[in-house]
Order: sequence, then structure tokens, then C-alpha cells
Amino acid sequence: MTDATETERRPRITYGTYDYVVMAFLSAVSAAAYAGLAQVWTALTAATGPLGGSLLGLFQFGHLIAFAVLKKPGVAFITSFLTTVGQLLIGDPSGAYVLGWGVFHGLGAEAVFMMRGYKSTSLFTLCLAGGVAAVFGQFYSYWVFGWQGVKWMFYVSLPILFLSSAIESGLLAHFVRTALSRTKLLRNS
Amino acid sequence: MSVKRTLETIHPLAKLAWVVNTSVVAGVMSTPRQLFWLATTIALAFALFGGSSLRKVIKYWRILLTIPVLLFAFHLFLYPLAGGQSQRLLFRWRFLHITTAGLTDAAVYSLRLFCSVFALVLFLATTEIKAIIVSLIRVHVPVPFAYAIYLMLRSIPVMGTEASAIAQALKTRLSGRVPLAAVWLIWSRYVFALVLIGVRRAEQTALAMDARGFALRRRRTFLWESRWSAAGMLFLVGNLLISWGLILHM
Repeated sequence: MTDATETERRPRITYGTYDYVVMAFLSAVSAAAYAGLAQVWTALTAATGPLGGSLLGLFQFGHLIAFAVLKKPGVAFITSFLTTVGQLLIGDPSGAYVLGWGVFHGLGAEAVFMMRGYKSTSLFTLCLAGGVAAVFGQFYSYWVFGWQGVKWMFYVSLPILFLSSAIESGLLAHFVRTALSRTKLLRNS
Repeated sequence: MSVKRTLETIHPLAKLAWVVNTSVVAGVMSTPRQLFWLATTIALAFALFGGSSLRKVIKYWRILLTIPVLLFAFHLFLYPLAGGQSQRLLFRWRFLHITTAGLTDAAVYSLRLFCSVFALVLFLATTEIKAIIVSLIRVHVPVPFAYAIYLMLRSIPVMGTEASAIAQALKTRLSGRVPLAAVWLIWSRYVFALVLIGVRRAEQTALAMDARGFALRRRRTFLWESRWSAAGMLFLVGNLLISWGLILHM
């Protein structure tokens, strides 16, 4: 009886073959899309500092869509990390440091989904998750690119990046999620 | 076994651990001197053991040089202009200032990125990616997770082909110049079509994998042999000692 109550309270997170395959395919889509975007973003950011790439907020859509499709804890983090593994193995201009963005973006998005009880895939939740994930990633960029001397640029970049990522990635993920649920292709739609 | 093939025959996980270790060590290092010596050790590893992969390495010249050079220029010229710490002025021409702090930071951050990318390029040029998955499962990474990485890597070229087909289809529907307001709509349609195809393929693949009993057993059998050789261990341990030794003694 006690065991059953415990299980009800804390359901074990299990992923089936479908979950892993969806995460893998969405990571492949994102890694392919980000590979081109990352060249532009890294060049802009390296050449002009924190403000350079802050208008490019499309790096979050992959894990947001993955969560919207599967609605399970950890999906956003795993997809985000898998995407950066893909980017690493196809050759990223940031070297192995790209894995750090995967971790930080995943943690940021996961924190928002956790706060919303892993149930909501509304426009607000997706936009907030996109924005927060991007801000988490910017703190890691601060360390990678060494922006200690241009802190004012870094602080200015945070709200810009939050808004650009929330709008670009959040809206895109919402649009795709709505369209996908209309197709009745998803197992939980 | 010829000398030039040595880096290619080293265990993929040893090389992957080396790439990650190089990036961590480069991140910890704080002086240009330490980073210069780290870059020298990578170059030496390449010169001694990676001769046959020179052509492959040259193919990656863009990612190898562009970002470190841009980062160097940013720290060197824009850093003092944007309000960075200004120490002793080394050079001044109109609005361009080069300070000692700018020069040091330029060297540190560009070399840090260069070391990480250089190690990655060497890894990519000398490693069969599929072999990594077998090695990951051998070190007890859960099979579904290792397979997810494998599936993702196999899907990238497939999805790349789909992406170009969608892009071509969208192009045929557009005539002349595209207004800026329509770019967002086109981009959304492009991503939507790509994700839709991705989810459909995922559904088919998951069904096929389940039909073959993928989730029934935790163990898999492989055609590839994955064994740690003495050379692989020596390569990893040697690099760990040298890289961390550079931090402790310089």
C-alpha cells in the first residue's frame, strides 16, 4: 500500500522507443538547422561581443518542440544536449564548448517547464522557456568569449536576447505545435 | 602498423575524452603562455601521429581559424573602445587603441577557442563516428541513449536532403523578390514541414524498431570490435598529464 502511494506521488520517468526516436529526429533537425546558424552567430558574437548575436534567437526551437510533442520531464534537456552533440560531431566553430550551450539551454528550458508542472505547452510557457534558456546560455557565452571587460554590453544583451528568443523560438515552437496537433499525427494530440 | 595511422587507430573514446579534456584545460588556463604550449602539444600530436589526415584537417580551415581570429580582433581593438580595462597603451592610431590588457585577453580567449576547435578537428578527421556509439555502449551508457545519438547522426544527412527538397518546393512558389514581412512566414512553413517530416519518420522508425523487439533487451551485439589498446591508454594518460602539468608548472 505504501509502495503504491509512493509510486503515485513520484511517478518514475520512463522513455519508450518512440520518445528516444522523436528526440533523436528533432535533434537531427535542430542540429542541421543550427549548424548553419551557429556559423553566423559565432562569427557575429566573436567579432562584436555580446550584442552581436543577441537578435538571433532561433537556437531554442528544437527542444521546445520536443517538449511540446512529448510533454515529459527531461525531454527538453536531453534534446538540447543531443543537438549540441550532433553539432559537435559535424564540426562546430566553438569546438567542444558547444556542449556547454546544450546543457545551459536545456537547464533553462527545463526549469520553466518544471515550474509549469510539465503540463503546459501554451504560447506563454514556450516563449518564457525560450527566453530563459537563451539567458542561461548567455551566461555561459560570457565565460567562453571573455566579456568581463564589456559588462555593460552583456547586461544590455540579456533583455534583448530574452525577447528575441522568446519571440523567435517560442512563436515558432507554438506555431509548429499547433499545426502538428491539427494533423493528428502526434500520439498525445 | 604505420606511424601515420596511429591517431586513426586510437580508441574513439580516448580521443573524445582528449577533446573534452583539452577544452576544460584551456578553460582553466589563464595566461597566453600556458595556452600557447597547449596548442603546441596538439600540433605535435597532429604532426607526429596524424600525417595522413592533413587533407581532412585543411577542409576544416574555416572553423579552425575564423572565430579565433575574429575574437582576437574584438578583444584587441574593440575591448578598450567599449570600456574594457585600459592598462598600458601599446599602440594608438586614431580611434584604435591596443592596450596590454586587450592584447593579453585577445591572446587568451582566441587561443582557448583555437585549442578546443583544433582538438575537435583532429578528432573528426581521424575518427569513424559510428565507432563512438559502439564504444559508448561498451562503457555502459544506456543503449537507448547511445542509439538516440546514433540515430540522430544518421538522420542529419537524411533530414538535410529533406530540408533542401522543402527549400526548393518553397522557392518554386515564390516569384521575384520576397518582402521582409513574408520571410517569417516562409521560415515557419519551412521549419513546420521539416518537423512534420521528422515526426512522421520518427513514428515509422519507432514502430519498426519496436516490431524488431528493440526495447526487449538491454544488450546489443555489434560487428565492430571495440577494445582499449595500450596506445589508446597511453595517448589519453599522456595528454592528461601533459595538459594538467602545464597548468601546475607554468
